[in-house]
This record gives sequence, structure tokens and C-alpha cells, in this order.
Amino acid sequence: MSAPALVLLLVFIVIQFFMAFKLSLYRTDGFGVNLFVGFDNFKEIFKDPDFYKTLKPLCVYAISIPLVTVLPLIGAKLVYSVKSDRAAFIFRVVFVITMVVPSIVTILLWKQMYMEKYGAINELLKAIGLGTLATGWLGNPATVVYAVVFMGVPWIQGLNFLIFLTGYMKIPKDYYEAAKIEGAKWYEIMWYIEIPTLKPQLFMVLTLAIVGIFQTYEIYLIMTQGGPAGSSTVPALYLFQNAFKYGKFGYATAIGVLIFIICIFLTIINKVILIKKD
Amino acid sequence: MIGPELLTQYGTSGYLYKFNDIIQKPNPFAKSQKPWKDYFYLNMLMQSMSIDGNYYWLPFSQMGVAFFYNRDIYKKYSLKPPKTWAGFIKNSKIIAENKKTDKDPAAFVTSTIGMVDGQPDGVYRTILELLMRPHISEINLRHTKGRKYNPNDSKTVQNERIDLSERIVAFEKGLIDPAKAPEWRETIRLMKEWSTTWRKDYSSVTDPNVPYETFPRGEAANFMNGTWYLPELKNMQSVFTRISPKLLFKAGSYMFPEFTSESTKFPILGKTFQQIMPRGRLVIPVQKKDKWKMQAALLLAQYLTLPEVSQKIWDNSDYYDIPCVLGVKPKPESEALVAGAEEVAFLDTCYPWGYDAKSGEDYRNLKYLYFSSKISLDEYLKRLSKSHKESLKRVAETSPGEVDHKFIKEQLGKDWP
Repeated sequence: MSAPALVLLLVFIVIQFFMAFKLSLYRTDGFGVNLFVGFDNFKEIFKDPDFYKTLKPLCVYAISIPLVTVLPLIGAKLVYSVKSDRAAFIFRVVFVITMVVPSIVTILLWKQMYMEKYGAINELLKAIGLGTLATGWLGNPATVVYAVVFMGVPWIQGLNFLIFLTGYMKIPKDYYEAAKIEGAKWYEIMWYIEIPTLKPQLFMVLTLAIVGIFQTYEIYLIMTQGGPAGSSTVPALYLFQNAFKYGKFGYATAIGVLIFIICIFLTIINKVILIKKD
Repeated sequence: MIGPELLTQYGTSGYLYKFNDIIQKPNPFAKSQKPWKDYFYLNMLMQSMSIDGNYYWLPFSQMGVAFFYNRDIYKKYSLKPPKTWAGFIKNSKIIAENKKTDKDPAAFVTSTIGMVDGQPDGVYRTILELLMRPHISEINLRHTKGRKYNPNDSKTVQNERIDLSERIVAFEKGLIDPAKAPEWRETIRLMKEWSTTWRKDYSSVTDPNVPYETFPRGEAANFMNGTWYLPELKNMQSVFTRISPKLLFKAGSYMFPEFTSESTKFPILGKTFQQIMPRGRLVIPVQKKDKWKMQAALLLAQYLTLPEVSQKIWDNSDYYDIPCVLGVKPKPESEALVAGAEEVAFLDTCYPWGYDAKSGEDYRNLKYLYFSSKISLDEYLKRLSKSHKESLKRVAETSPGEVDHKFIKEQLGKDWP
């Protein structure tokens, strides 16, 4: 049964990865020039000041990791605790419905809201007497990445929410009853029962969030094009620019391979920490 | 639609047919025996020559850039469309000084972030080119023997181009190096002076539609754009005036103002180059197996560039660009935008945005930093110079055949880089 899936995985994922790795060893513009350069592309990354500049917005963007992990967990807990089936259903729909809205719609809406002139956020600030705070949110290097992070509000992504909700549903009721008998407080239940039981889900969501911040580029591409003055160019966008703007496919692929290695490394660390706590 | 940089990339990689030889022969559909190249505006044909000297595309339509202005605002402040840059700045300052509230019109709306088509980038390039003219003979060192550059005669630059080796020499001599060329500093001074009249949010506008839609709403007195903007301007005005009839105003246009000694102490040779460049291009992908397909595409290109056929295309379409085929009339609205443009000699002496896409990105970033006063002029020019030097090195690396080391050594007394 799983053989066709394995074949597809092999053809479209595994082989692609090795092809990308091979490409990263070449200097190529994606068309004609193919020159084997070994690990020169990787060495160039470490010497490239523009690449290092991409790490600053990445670190700021990493604020979203705890947000997209903890808030869906709280959301799932609240929905799980709702007694009424009908109310629980409505909450589930509300949280999950965001999954069916194409991300481009959300991005474009926020882009409009962030505009300096006529943007909803600045208009709102002016209306409540905080007009001095109004700024070009996406045109200001000091605010641009925070503005992108804030776009995720309330950071309860449908998928993460569902993962945690499923986890909560799997916790045996006996645990709660035993804890109640022992007189455990709500935070003790959370710390000693829920968090340990939800470890696989936490691992999954954290991994997705980490990989997500490294992979995200489309938001920046559409909202800021990496600007102003490169202040919102994250590594994945820098990869995109090198491949499709500067015609440096080999170099771009090397950045991609490096991102992949970093993601694997962080995933392993994540796994080790969670296992250690076990 | 793709830009010329990408076409050159396709071309140098062998994916595009080279028109070099065929344009020297007559068009088989024409009765005349004159070479096919003579059917095109000379300036357009020259701008179609890529940096390696090949014609990977032929021009079909050209876009003309001009200033559009709001006649009502001009009337309100008793202004006239300027003929000179000094007049343009004077007008702009009057409008900017009268802008007391959000409701008052701005003199100009633009963005320093990203590329806003037909905006200050084009002005920058035009001023720089104009100020560099006295140095053309020092830059275009390998020009045709006996030919003397005349800025008002495009024939004097026919088949001339500043090749990569000439650019390297000119850069190393400081002629086109932003940090060393005084003309570059003067260009930025003129740009900065103009920028004081722009709407104040120019350093934070990220959406290219903002400047685009501001002029039709009557919120800006001037707007710089091209022939492609005319149908959109009409459409936007009809939409906005349906929302509020008060927004209806009459728009006029004027060509790029002439530079005079009133604006700069630098010598001005000849008339200002009007920004007119190829837009619609004829391209034929190389077909290694089915060569007949290439032949068919070539015949189609030759047929489409017959003046009578090209005229039918313009007559029966909503196309406001200027034809590249001589003798074909554009739409009446566009005629004023190209008056006399073909006479001016244009050589693209140097590019504000450097020589490849990476330096283009650096140019945009530095533009933001300087115009929003985050770095000094010296720092701007120093960083731009570094970016240009690096881009020349990269281009030389990807097109080693274009670097004439012997010529460079002769000129600089040492090899490069």
C-alpha cells in the first residue's frame, strides 16, 4: 500500500534533495554556465556580509516560534475544556477556518492595513489619539519585521491548534480524575500531566515552527521585497533573490542546503531536549 | 513580460536567435531593397544591442516617459508647465510650500523602496547621462575611427556602445566611479533638491500602486510615467470620479524639462535625452531540432515590422506605446511624448544601478538609506562605488570574452582586476 507513496517521496523529495546538493557544488546561472567549484559556494556564504545581515530579521522573526506554539496550545486547552458540544464545535470551526483562507489574501490585507497613508492601523491610532505613533510600518527598518510577526495575530494556526486538540483528546480521563483526588492545582495538572503527555505534539509543532521561520519568504517577498534597505531580507528570501534575481542558482542552492542542515540540527536538538526531559 | 537583463542572460546562454546578420539584409515582404535594420528608429535599435554586442531581440514598441500634471492645481497656483529643470523645481517648491494639510496636493509622489516605474530612477539616469556627455570621448575610447560625438545627432552614435572593457577603464580612471566622478555628486545634489518637494511618506511607501493612484485622485500635481499609463489614467479617473465627481480634473503632459545653467554649473551639451526605450520586443527562441519553426517566427517578425502591417496593429488596438517602426503613427495622445526624441544621441554612459541585478538591489537599498537621511552623501557614494566595482567584476567573470586585457593594460598601465 505504501509503496507508491514511497516512490513519489523518493522521486519528488529525496532525489530532488540530492540534485540540489549536487547543484550547490556548481557555479551556474541555471542556464548554460556550469562550472564545478566544489564547496566554494558554501565558503562564499560564510564570507558574504549580505548573508549575515539576513540573520538579524530571522532572529526577530523567531519571536513567532513561542507564539505559534504556546497560543494554539492554550486555544486547544480552552476548546477541550468547553463543556457544550455545540460551543466546542463552533470554536473548532473558528480556529480551523483560517486554514482555508489563502495566505496571499491575508498578506495583501495586512499590507493594506500597514500603509502609512489611509492604512487601517494608522487611522485607528489617529482615531484613539495616538497619531504620533503612526508610521510607515513596512517602510521603517525598525518596525518592518515586527509588523510581519504581528500579522500572525492571534497566532493560533489551524494546523497547530488541531495537533494540540488531538493530543488533549488522547489524554486518558483517569489522569485528570486521579489528579483531582490528589488535590492538584490547574498548573500542576498542566505541568505534570498535560505537557508530558503532549510531548510528541509539542515536538511536532516546534519543529514545524522552526522549519517555518527558515522557509518563510513569500510574506517578505509580497509585503516588503526584503526592504527597506534589506532590513527584512531573511535567508530564504536571500536564497530566492540569488536564484531568480541575480541568476546565482548554485549559490542559492548552497544557501538552501545550509538552511536544510540547520533545520535538521535544530530538530535534533529539539528532540534531544524533549527526550531528556522525559 | 521580462526585462532586457533576463533576455541577455537567455541570449548569452544560446537560447535566443541572433538578429545580427539578418537585419543587414532586406525584408523579403517589402518591395524596397533597404536593409531590415533601416525600418526601425535608430535609437531603439541601438538600445536593443546587448552588452556583448549582439541583437537578441528587435524593438517593436517603445515606451515614452513624460511628466503628467494636474491642470487644475497648476491653475490654482498660477503655474505653467515648465520648460526647464529650474522651472520645474520652482513649480514644485511652490506646490510643496502650499501643502499645509493632508488635503492639499503634493508636488510629487514617489517611493524610494523598490522600483516604481518611470519614477526618480529614470530622472537620475537622465541627469547623470546629461552631465557625463563632456566625457563621452574619454569613455567611448574604441569608437569608430573618425566619428565625432554630437549629442543632438543620434547618427553619431550609430553602432557605438560602451563595451565592458571601456566601462572598466572608465571606472578605474574615476570617470564613471560614483565616489570619484564630480558629475555623480552633482546628480545626487540635484536629486536631493528635487526630493525636498516629494510627499513626505516617500521613504516608507512600499506599494507601487500608491504613487500610481495618487495622481488620478488629484492628490499630486505632477506624476512621471509613460505611454502605458494613459489608458490606466483614463480608467482610474473614470472610477474615482464615479465615487466623487469632485475628483475630476484635466490632465496635461510635458516632456522632460531641459537643463540650463540656472540649475547646474556643470556644462550641458545638447538637448536633454527623453526617456524613450524599447518595450515590446521581438524574440525568437533557438530551436535546435525544428529549425523551420525559427524560420517561420523570423518571417512573422519581418511581416509584423512592415510599416503598413505595424500601422494596422496600432490602429486596431488600445495600445498607447510608440511604434518602433519608422513611419508608423502612434495614438494621438502619445504623439506629444516623443517629439524630437529620436534626434538625441544616447550612449548609456553609466548606469546608476550598476551592471548586474545584485548591484541593482544595492542601488535601491542605498537610495532608501540616502534619501531618508540615514547615511551621508559621502557614505552613499562610497558604498555605491563599491557595489559598482563588484558588479563589474562579476560581469567580467561571467563574460570573460568581453574583457580585453590588452586594451585595459594599455589604458591603465596594469591588468584588471
